[in-house]
Amino acid sequence: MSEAKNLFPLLQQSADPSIVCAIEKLVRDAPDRDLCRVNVLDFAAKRGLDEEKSIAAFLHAARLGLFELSWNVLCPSCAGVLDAATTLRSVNRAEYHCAWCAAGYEPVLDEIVEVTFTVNRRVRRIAAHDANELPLAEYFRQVFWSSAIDLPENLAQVIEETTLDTVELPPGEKALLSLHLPSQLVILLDPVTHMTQFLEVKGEPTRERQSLSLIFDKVPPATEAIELSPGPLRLSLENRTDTRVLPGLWVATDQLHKLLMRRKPFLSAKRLLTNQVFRDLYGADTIDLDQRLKITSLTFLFTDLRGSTELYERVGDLVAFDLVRAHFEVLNDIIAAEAGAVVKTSGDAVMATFSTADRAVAAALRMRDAMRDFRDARTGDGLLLKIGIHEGPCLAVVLDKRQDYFGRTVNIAARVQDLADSRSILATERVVNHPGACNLLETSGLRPVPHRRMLRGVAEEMAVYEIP
Amino acid sequence: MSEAGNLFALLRHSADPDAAEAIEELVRDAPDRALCRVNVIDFARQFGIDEERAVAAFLHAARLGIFELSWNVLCPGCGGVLDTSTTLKSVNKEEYDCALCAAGYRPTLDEMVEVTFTVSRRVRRITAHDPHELPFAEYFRQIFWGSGINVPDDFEQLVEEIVLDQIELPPGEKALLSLQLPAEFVIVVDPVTHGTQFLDVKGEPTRERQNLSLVFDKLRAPTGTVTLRPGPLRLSLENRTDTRLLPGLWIAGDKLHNLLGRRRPFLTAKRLLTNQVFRDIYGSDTIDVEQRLKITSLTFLFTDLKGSTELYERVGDLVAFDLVKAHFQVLNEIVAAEAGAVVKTIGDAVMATFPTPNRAVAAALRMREAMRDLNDGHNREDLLLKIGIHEGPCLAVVLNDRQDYFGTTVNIAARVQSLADSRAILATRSVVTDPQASALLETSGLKLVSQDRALRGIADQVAVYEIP
Repeated sequence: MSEAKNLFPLLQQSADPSIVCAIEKLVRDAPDRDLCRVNVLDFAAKRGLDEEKSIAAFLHAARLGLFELSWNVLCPSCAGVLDAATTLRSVNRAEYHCAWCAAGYEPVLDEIVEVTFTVNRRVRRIAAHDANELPLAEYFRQVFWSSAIDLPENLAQVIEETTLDTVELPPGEKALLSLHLPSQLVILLDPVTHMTQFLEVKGEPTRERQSLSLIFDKVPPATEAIELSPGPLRLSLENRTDTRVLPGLWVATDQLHKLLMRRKPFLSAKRLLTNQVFRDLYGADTIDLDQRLKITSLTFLFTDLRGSTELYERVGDLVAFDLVRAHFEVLNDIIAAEAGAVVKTSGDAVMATFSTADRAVAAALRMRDAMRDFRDARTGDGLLLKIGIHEGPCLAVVLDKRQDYFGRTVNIAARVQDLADSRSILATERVVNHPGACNLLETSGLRPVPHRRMLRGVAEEMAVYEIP
Repeated sequence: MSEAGNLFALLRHSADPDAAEAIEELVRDAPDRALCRVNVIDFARQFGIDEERAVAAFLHAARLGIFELSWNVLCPGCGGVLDTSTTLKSVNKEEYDCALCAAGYRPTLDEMVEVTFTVSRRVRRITAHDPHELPFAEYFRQIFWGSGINVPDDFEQLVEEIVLDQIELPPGEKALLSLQLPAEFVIVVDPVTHGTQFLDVKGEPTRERQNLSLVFDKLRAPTGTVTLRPGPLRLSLENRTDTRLLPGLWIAGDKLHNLLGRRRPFLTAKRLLTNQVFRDIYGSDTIDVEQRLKITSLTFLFTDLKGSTELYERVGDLVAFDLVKAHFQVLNEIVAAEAGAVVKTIGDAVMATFPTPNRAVAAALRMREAMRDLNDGHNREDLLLKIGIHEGPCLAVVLNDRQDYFGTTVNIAARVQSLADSRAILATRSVVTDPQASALLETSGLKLVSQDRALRGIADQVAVYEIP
């Protein structure tokens, strides 16, 4: 902790003080396992802290070297980690396969990629820094499963109950297990290599001893399910990898099912990309030039200053620039406060993203109010904002040295903004129908008015709602 | 030179081999003074190297530490350096005064700020690394004047003819000069402090000794005019600074005038900002967030893909992204080849700058051709470019972590682009009447069609020319 002592005062300078205290306490007092793959949303919820400020504080902590940031590809079905990397650049496969669930998944950034924080070994040494020395239950908790699963305190006991047998097999060694197969689906799983073998145990029970031999290799072979009869089995296991493996025979019971169903919210890659602090600290360095990462749902907000060209002509470039820059500052603050991020500005237009539609609507309402004040304070020079919002799937990419977004959704959002008149906020149906956005508009006493509008380049008419 | 040997090997990797070789030769063989504040344009001419490649090679050399880049504010009157700095961020005064010319100038990046390269002391030691040890004539040549003055080789002899007397005055010391004043305008100038005193020598010659006393200190270098008569003068000089001074009495006659008239092209700050290699290496780190630097004339080229929204709808986001990226790459290469730089991309639009209108027109013609080839390769008309070009004054600023430009000129350029139809290149009068641009269009056999168009937000109609 000696080095860390110097880092925490630094962290105090850039992050929320009460959250920094909570992080310092965590690093000092928490059990090892709480410092491995920290789920920031869970951390904030347990301590009643603001989520956005907690994310910002952990990002700054990672920046200072207190924590290491990790991007983990999850299996949405079992919540296991299929791949873990220190950068999103390594998430470069078209599909990730979960051997346990026997299913493949496209790594969309919304639900399939989580971001966790593990304490740096120079700051505090924890058992997970040597993952191959973790006991079986803790290996499952800290390495195999992601931060999306809410594991019980007595995980070791639950594993005992849901497995027929488990064994720790050092590199190069063999083991012989004698066990009795129940008439159920049994899954032989090693959490280290992710090698999985399904054993379909059915039919007449037998007293004859059945034999099965399995080899753990670096590249786990895809194997068909093996049919066996209920009764005695002699299982021979051989570890040909150069790390310890932890094979176990899991019985697909309700208990296992329940264990896997215990979920909690986690910090998704999408949420991090659309966080202003993340953009400021990591910028374009997140994604490779050749990567195109899918996001299922992202909300885009475009703004443009009405009449800015006239403004420049009237007051001159220098004065206009100061006004435009002041307005950018106001918008930046509102966007960051609503958990969004500015992707770029062009001229006096802003493109911003939000992880959900309601935050974008909230930001738009605040922007409109802020512009009203802006105008009064600077008599005469009216700045009116045209705002458009749309939500949908898109690609996260790097373009022109900047982390950017691409696709039809982005185009439509920009076109919707084009239709906006001064003061009006235009949003598409998907945005105003978002439950959170609905609530927000209702409590604000605002009734969106739908209009059927043609958007340039979009084949069909779209319902565009005007928020008065 | 051993360290330098490795650096030159690296330089050959990143820069044009001929240019790298010429630079290596320069560093190895040239006299000291040729390695102080190298004028890259002049270097390119001397070595018969393409200017753009020479600029790129020197930028890479500076990045590797072979040279040090310097931004010098010049007096447009006398070509002297009013201020020098390793970064453009220090060019932050509203006005720069030239004591010699008794005039103040607002810094514009076109002609008032030059960029020069001085060899690093670790690579080769030259006298100018200790400018206070340079002899009188060499101080003027290497330190006082900018690289736009072509100081003759026999400058020392010229000094004999123009300078009545001069003295090297160490810190804290005094000197008495006795001299005979001719009936001419005489300037007492010290090139270190830029302290200047004008002596208007006229009227009846006198035999009586006239006395004048000048004190040089850090804050108030002498300025002003005194009227004297031809005849003997006792000039007392006192150095209250902590550096050596080189006061001299210059006859402001035809010879001095001719000397100051010897101009040659130099690398301007504007030209460097609109160079792609410079943007790639230095990015937004050039200008402070608070700075707004004036450029008198910059050419803006905007492009946009026609029908891109339909394209995304037809082929899907992934395929559309690959197409759009391929088109960006082609445009980037053309912009860089025409001495321009891509400022940013917005969706599938590109904003680029060029030092002069003719390079922008040349780039536009090549872009149109390149899109034709790209479409032929895909066997369909997917990519049609709408191009707009405008030239005028603007502000160089930093916005959203990017070196950007601001002002009515930028707005008009974008508006002109939005008037363009597929395949058409639209340009304003200031672009097509540029002598080199009109010569280029003439040799290409392209006849312009002019139209007065109203641009949104612009009070007056603007003549827009279509290049068919």
